[in-house]
Amino acid sequence: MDNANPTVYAAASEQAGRSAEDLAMEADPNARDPIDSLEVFDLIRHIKDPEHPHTLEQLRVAQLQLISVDDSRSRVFVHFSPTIPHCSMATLIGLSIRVKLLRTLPTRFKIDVNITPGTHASEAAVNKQLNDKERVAAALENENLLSVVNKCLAGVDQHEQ
Amino acid sequence: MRLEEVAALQGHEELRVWHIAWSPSGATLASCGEDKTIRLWGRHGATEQDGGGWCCQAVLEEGHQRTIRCVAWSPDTRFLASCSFDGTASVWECIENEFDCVASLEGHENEVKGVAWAASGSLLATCGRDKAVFIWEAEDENFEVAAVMHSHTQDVKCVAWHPHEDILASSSYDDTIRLYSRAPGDDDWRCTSTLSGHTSTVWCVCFTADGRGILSASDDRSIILWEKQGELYSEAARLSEVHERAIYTLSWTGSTAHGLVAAGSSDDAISITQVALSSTNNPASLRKDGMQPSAHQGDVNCVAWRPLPEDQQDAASMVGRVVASAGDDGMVRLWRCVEGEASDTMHLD
Repeated sequence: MDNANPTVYAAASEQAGRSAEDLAMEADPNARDPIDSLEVFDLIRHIKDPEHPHTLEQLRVAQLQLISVDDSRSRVFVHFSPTIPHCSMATLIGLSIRVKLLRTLPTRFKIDVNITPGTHASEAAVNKQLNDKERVAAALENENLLSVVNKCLAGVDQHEQ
Repeated sequence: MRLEEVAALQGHEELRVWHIAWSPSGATLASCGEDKTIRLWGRHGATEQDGGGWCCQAVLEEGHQRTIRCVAWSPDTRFLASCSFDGTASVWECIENEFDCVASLEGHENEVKGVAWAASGSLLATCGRDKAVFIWEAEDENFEVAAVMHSHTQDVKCVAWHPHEDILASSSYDDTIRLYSRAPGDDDWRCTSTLSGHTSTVWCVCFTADGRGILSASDDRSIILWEKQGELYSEAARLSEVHERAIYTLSWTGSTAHGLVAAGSSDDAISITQVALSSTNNPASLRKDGMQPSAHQGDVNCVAWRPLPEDQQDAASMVGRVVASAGDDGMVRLWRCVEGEASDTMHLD
């Protein structure tokens, strides 16, 4: 295990960060409701770290302020911060985030998942691999790897039910 | 120049279509993708002008266990080669429109990503994630490994042959293009040069009509024209920021001096670029000449110009030429080049 004793932070409540107006629009089934960063955060916050019983939110690997969304241009940018700069799980965490978003966001979205600048020793190499669609597609046809990813995502899906 | 959609071919179960390849006569288009099948598209009826009449004429199944990444026709149309994430390449023989899988080429350690036939028809190249480029020697239905090259330091994405010489180009995740050939009188293949200039993965590489030029497309969103000067190819022209996102594919049509390159991107668009090779009076140039936004509802993974009938191959005009595209939306589309500016896409499906 890379980081045997990570700092665990409290998770925010589900609707924190939304104004009353936002909440009303979210609740109105007739309103055109653009995807925003909070929604993207909600999709990934409960992903489990591959090595710890904690979520990406609790470890602050995923953070709301590291997500930006341009709904009109259908772009989602997610940064994530591995707990330590030599985390060997960085690629797997990034892949789990990407898979979750590919499975849940409308297909019109272009998704870029990258390591937060300065938080990992192999930042460029991991980013390149995570954003190579061919490698991601091939990885997801590998049943062993897919089951590991699905394990990371299991908590998220439970949470959604 | 702009593109006008003339046909939308649906059949890959809405799964990603990775690659398309025209038979040398332009009569049949093969497509392959995530659904692990190869589809062969042709037209019935002879109404060339309306673009309609395209339909799926055959589906090749059970050749591969995983995604089929790339397909390529032999120059005599007798064979179709395919390669897959399952680590193998297959060769299908076509006799009277019936396809039989006659060979399975095993050698790569994992995903095979590119396959291409040499103009002679007796050599087949494959490349893959194991960083290797294989050259297979074909004698009828028997394929022997003629060479294995490990020049690249990463995943090899694409292989392409010179139009009439035994020169092979490969492009890679290591941001470079490598060229391979045999010394005269020597059977040993070797890497003869490395073309560096792109700053990220080179997804696609192809030769121009007579092989004097090489075109490459990259994740760095640029297209580079490399020209042969003396024995070596070097950068002759570059077009940056052609697309908003990675460029996955390009295809050349034209004469020895100038032509059009179509390119497809992760920004869902197809671009058209005018290419002029260098002449005694003018340097080589690349000039953007058209953009078809939202060509697919998803990444454009492959574009391929339809070969011109033999009696029209010297035609100077680019108008009327047909380019096919394949996308993440599971569609294969056919487009015709027409004069004018691009307008909003009106899809046929």
